[in-house]
Amino acid sequence: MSVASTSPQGLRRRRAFVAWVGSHGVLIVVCALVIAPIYFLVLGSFKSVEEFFSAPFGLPQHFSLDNYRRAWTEASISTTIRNSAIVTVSAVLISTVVSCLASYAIARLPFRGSLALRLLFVGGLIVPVQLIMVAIFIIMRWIGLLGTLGSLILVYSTFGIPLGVLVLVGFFQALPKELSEAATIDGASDFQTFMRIILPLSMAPILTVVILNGVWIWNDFFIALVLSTKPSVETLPLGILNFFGVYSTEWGLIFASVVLSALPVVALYLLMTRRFIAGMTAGSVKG
Amino acid sequence: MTQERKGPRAESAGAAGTERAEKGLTRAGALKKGVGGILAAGAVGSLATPAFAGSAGSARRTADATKISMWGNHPEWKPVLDRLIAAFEKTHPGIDVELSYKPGPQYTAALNTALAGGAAPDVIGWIEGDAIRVGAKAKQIIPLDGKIPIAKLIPAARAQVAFNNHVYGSPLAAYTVGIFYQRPIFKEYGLKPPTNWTQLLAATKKLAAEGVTPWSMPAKDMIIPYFFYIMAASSILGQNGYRGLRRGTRKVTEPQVVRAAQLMIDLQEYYNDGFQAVSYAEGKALFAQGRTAMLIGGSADYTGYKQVNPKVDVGVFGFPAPNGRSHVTVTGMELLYTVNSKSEHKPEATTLVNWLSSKGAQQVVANELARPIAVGVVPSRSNRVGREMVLAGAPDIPVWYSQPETGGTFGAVTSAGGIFTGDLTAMEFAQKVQASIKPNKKA
Amino acid sequence: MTSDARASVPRGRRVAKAIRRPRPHIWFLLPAVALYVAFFIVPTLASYWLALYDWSGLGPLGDFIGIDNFRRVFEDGEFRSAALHNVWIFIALFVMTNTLSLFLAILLDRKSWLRGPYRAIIFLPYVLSPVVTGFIFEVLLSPNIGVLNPGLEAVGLGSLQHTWLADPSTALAAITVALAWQWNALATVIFMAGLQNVPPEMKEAAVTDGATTLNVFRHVTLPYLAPAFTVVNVLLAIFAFRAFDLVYVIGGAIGAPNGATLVMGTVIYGNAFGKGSYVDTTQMSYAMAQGIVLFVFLGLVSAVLLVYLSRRERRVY
Repeated sequence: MSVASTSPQGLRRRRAFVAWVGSHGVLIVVCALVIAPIYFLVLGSFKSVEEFFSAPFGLPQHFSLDNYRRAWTEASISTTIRNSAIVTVSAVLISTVVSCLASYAIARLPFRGSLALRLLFVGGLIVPVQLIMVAIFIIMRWIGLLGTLGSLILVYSTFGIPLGVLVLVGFFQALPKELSEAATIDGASDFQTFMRIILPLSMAPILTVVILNGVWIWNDFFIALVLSTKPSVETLPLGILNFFGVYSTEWGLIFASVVLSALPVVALYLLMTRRFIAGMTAGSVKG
Repeated sequence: MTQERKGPRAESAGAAGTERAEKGLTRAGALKKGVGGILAAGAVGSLATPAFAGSAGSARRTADATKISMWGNHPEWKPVLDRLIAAFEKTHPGIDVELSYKPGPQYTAALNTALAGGAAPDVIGWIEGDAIRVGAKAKQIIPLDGKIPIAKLIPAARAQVAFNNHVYGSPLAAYTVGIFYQRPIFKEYGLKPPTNWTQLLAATKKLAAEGVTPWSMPAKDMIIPYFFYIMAASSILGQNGYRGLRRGTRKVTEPQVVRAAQLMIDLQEYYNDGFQAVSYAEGKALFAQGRTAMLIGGSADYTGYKQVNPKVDVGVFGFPAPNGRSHVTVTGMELLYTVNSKSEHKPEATTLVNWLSSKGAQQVVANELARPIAVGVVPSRSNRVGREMVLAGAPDIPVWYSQPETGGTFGAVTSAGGIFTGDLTAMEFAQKVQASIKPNKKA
Repeated sequence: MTSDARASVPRGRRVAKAIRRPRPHIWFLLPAVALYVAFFIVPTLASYWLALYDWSGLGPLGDFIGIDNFRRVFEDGEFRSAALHNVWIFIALFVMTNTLSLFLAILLDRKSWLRGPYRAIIFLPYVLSPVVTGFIFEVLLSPNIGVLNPGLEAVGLGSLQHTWLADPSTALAAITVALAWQWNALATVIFMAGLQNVPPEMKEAAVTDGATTLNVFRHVTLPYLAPAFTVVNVLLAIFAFRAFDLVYVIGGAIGAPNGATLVMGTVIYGNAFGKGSYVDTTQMSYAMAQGIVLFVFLGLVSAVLLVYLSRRERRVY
């Protein structure tokens, strides 16, 4: 297609080019703004306290891993990472399973009060967590689970339900009725319909729920603060916070511990970016 | 995130969604199935075995030793305290102490929640002041009459743990607050620790003129300003005046006492940059690094300075009275350790609390941690700063929030940050503080 | 909360029916409901109950004072100023999100080999913990060890240097920037999801009909984005009014400087658990009352937003 520079196609092409450059320019600036804080965090983790004062903006003199080594051992990172992993994975699993079941019932099984129940679950997103932690503590003690990872898992599982119900009910409702009707005609029970037909189609929103719940549960510190009565059951955010208390002025060390604490999630995220975002975009916001 | 889709759109949305979902189906499905089994096992495992990830470390050292729990609120004391407790365990082989640290700002939260839920540690540490009295009244701790060598504790310590005709425990240590200063900086500009307010102002101005930031005044949590204020006010009131304050015969709104608040305002231009949002820790680091010359600091802070700058060279002086006739320090107690009434190991817990007040334990405290609470224990010669601290106070006034009548002053100052933003005048500040004081004629 | 009451009635009847003729949906609902009741409903009700007393959080329960705590909440200047701060944050985020995030999402909607990496980077802030984020920004803006001030100097804007966190007029703005840094990551991705659902055929049809890009956007894309708008803005409200972790790390429970960075979350925390490491007279019951007021308030805001935005959605179809 020959294009003279003043023809309509030519103009459009030039405009398109400018738009292309402009949009990439904006995106690059935004990315820089996003990365800048993280960049300085990582940079700082290699500095000595003196360098923070004398050259806050510049590069550290040595890139030794000393800070990291100390942070790993003294912040008990091996223990807290293990606890966080166990708690997060278990809670996400339980929460997702439980939410799927409940959302299926609310979305596709007729019964009175389904709307009320749905609102009740989703309303949980609004409750400020400070409000209920004391009562939860007392309940945990009463059950005898205080000071165990189990208490954290149960609480996180419960708090993951509102998000799960919010996402899944909408999705389930949007699936065509014919699918389940066909299965029922073939003699399948509700449960079979759920497992064989609805569930396999819902992997994308389920992934969304898994990711969103997983991120906040991994990063949560307040619930862990209240329920971790023993150092052996502390999760990663709590371990880092305690670490702050001990070495409050050694910023290099603190930064290193912060980087270490963020590494698992970020690493997982970077590895799974496509799945992360694809999962969220595909079929999660319906219509 | 989905939003409820009502209406005719739902149909086609559903179809489109189904298509896209199917694409993601096989990979995600396989992933879930494979990992699912492992996860399920893990979940069940951790629910069934309490403290699953827990006891690995401290496992079965002494298989039949009694385990008692204890909390500390200074994670930065970990190296010394751990050693102290290890010494206790060596001389008391049947007892294992599980010492855990809750960072200072979260200590009250953790303790109050634990108490409310009936899961507080065997040895409960109370922040000085009213809390221990409330706890005693609510029968959350047991009296330890006769089990604590109360006569061997310094009067300030006694006052905190002995009340209502009972003795409830012992503090771990005391802390004294004075003014730390960078000796090299003072030497360089030919300054000596000021002995009255004229000298104080002069030294401050001279330092500023030479390009040095005179004061570290981290005010993010209003702790340092609080101590500055009560020391300045106490330097005017003196020991008798402070007692009068508690009795109601003196007030902080008297014009001479308001000068204390005014001093804080007058010195404001000489505080470190952005001091209102600088945290205590950062302010300490600034000072330890030699970027500021003076800091209101406590005996426990010295370890912190050394962590930041091992070569730090500091001295201490008491807050001078305006007319130079005295110099004041304030003393308070670190955690007051008591025995939980719900503990299943009360004898062992009592042994530990008793041991904390012993000369041996207190000597370690004096040498490495803070100030001792046992009479007759003096920091070893190698602890110059510790000794200077003892000398810096004449008189030494109890920190105001530890006394029932002036217990509310800390809260009052915390919410009086307006003094630095210009929203409160010195008199208004003093009025706020006075409003929080509950005089008691019999104090 | 009314939906509690509403749910209990039909559930009662449902249970009765189930006994007569067991319906399968009971089993689907049971696990979620069991967990929810035990660790959510019961604690929430307990906190209502606690708010009716005069409990400090330490020691005995204190007197029953009925709704006194609630009355006090409405007269509390500190809480009101904190609430205003939340509103400020909400408005700032609202504007930023519905312009910037939307714009970014549109830019990212074009097929391009760079799209993957861009998206990966832009979503990254949301993955970090709010505590870590608060900490990073606090250090970045520090007058002593921060990089913003030296950075401004380096690019010749030295005159803009400021003690960002210590000045009451800029402290809250600084915190809002930190909040936005995290929040917009999520908002952009949600908008991207919404854009995926705009049928390309409609866009192409409009272009063939000679519509300008702007018009295509306004009349084709925007209406299809309505559901995404609903989701984003409701979540935005929840995020802005429930903000706690990040604000707590930077401003503390007393909202340095001088309460300028207080939000409702930190006020509640301060009253419930204490404001610092020294003597604190906590007021747990009062904090519960404040929490309930926040809860109801946020519920109303969300409901209003939801209703208004859903109606706009429906008008499109």
